[in-house]
Amino acid sequence: MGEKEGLITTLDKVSEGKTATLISLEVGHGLLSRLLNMGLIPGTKINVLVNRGKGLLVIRVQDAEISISRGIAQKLIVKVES
Amino acid sequence: MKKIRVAVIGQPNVGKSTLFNALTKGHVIVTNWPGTTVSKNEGIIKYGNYEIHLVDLPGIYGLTAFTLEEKISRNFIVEENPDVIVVLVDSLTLIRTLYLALDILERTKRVVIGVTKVDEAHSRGIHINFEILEKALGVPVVSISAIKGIGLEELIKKIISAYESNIKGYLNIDYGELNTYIEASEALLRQNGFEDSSRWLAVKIFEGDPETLIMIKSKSEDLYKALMELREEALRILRTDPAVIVSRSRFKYAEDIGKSCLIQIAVKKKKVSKIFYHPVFAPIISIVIILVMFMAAFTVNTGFPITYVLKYLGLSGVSHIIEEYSISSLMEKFIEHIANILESILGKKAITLFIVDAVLGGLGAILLFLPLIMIVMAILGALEDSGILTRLAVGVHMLFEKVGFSGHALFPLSISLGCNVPGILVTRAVPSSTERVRLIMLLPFIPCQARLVVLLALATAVKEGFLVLALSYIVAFIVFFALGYALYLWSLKRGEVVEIRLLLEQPPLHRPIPRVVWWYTWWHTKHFLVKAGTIIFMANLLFWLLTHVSPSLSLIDTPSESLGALFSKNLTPILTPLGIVGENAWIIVLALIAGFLAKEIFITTLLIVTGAESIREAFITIGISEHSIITLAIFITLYVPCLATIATIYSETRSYKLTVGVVVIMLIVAYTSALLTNILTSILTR
Repeated sequence: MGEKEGLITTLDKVSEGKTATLISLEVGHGLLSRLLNMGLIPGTKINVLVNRGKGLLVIRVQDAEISISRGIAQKLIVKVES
Repeated sequence: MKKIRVAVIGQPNVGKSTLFNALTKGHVIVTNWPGTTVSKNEGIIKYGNYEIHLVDLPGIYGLTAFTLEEKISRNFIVEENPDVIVVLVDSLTLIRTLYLALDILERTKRVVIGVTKVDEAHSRGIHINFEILEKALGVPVVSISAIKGIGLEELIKKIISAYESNIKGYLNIDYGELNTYIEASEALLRQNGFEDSSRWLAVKIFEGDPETLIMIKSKSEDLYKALMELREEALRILRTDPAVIVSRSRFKYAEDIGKSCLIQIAVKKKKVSKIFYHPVFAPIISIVIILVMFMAAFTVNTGFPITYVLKYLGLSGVSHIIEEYSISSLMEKFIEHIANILESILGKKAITLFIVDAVLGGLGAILLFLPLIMIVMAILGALEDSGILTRLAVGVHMLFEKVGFSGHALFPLSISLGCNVPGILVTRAVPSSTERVRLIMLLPFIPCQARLVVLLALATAVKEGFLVLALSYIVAFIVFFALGYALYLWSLKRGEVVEIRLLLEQPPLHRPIPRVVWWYTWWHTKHFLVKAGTIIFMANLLFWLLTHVSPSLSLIDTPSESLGALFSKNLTPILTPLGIVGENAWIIVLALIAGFLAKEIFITTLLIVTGAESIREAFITIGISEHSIITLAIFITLYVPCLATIATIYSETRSYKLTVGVVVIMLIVAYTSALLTNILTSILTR
């Protein structure tokens, strides 16, 4: 997962320790509302704290530590920052 | 006395329950939200000439209502129109938690903002200028530390002054490119009689709030269509989901406020405790912590399983002492003592029998569970307050995933080991609705404390007691996970399940605060007493009558001629394939029916009807073999847990079909498993 800066991908592909900016959320309405309210809004910086390539991810968004299953992460389109 | 109705609301983890407890000092009335089993906490504070009624609303992230909790909070704010709303925001995550406050302020300014955990904020280098924050929001702001008691009185004073000043108006947030559409909707709403909160309603329409949409549609189909057209147009032209634009603008607003009033000195950020997310260690740690927790709770309560371990080590003396002084045995002695006193005062009359067996017996059954519930809740409380609990969920998620469950299943499962009723209630937090239904259907297979008590009694009647107990638990868990996986695969086949989802905020880790743990424990215990207590008590009463009333409806004290006995005798042939035969087999049937109402009555029924002193003796009287007792243990573990659980399944799902389905599945599974056990044990003991 040696992704380059500026690459557009899904959150599950961003490796541990990297930061990405959320571009869009390709999820159904109920989950969308929950994610938005938790601070996962397009334009927000997401810090990937744990990502082992399988299983769930741990991210930091707006100072909150959130565990998120890979399935949801696969629906979040992001731009890799650094 | 002036009465002020106050709603307390906040996002999860902002410290709402801690503050609520600190304010009310634990004097809380617990009821249910109408039409739901979500509990509603109310507290009353008297201050000067005011009586302040506080209502604790479920913790939610925003007012757009998709889940049950969100609906309750939203509808309370919208429909009940409380005099003042206290919105809590977390000083540690001010900007993010301000989001909910803004959502509410867009509707009304009858709000007092409570900024929580200010004691902790300082040590993290966070400084908030409360004056600027107050000005930016246009409503009073109070800095609070519930643990240290800071700001509590000021909060009360500000609630009163907010009530007296009767502030009007609402906060106007700039929604940028969406503004024109929101204003157009607002105008439409006003023209159609929605003068109140038209702005807020317009925003909610673009957020896609189902409750608002349903409300408008029911009042005017044309208006609804016109509004939907506007929404479609916005989506088409702006090429972004309006819900995203609303959230983004609201967060931007919160951020701008944060920039003006918040100074954060860079202190070393706490590192993530990665051990809880390790693919190998995390599941192990989680399982070990949960096992240790239940072992401890079980041992304090009944002596099991430590007593068995000690016996195997040849220390039966020590084991005996532990059993003797376990809480449940002490409770039993206490009840027995009172019964004896009553008998000596009242004499051996029918009414004494009624009071001792039916009333006192029922109370005893409730008291028996009290210590256990308290211990389990105290441990869960400590785990939750410290932030470990949600991390354990992540740990087990890695295992549960493989059999079709998510980490969210951990809380319902562990609570169900204590009692199935609250176990089913906490499934509400599970984000996937199909997973939730699966859990509701299968949690009743998890042996609760009542079943443990019955199994322990059965174990005393066989040589390899411990093996019977262990076998029952193992079978129960195998059934739970096997059926769970089967149902998951079935849903997959029908294209229902999308995936196993986990979405959990992890609160910062810290040492548990004893006072908070105590509040948690006491609240849940009280809740249990009121809810399960009533049902256990009534079931006991009802069953006593069934075994003490003859077919001609007169009171008798020979249970073998009672209505219940007559009924059971007709059902006895069902148990024949399980090896439970003989002229006294009906007693088992009767006890099983009793166990349907509440499991622990199984034992008392056996003892009362046979007149035996111990369970061992009772089985000898009935005349069933040791391997039939093992069969019986399996059957008892798996068949319908109790009436309270069934009632809860119905109230949670509102589906007769599903509720009856659960009962039928349980009976079939229990019968088949018992049959298999009977066949296997007969082969092995031949």
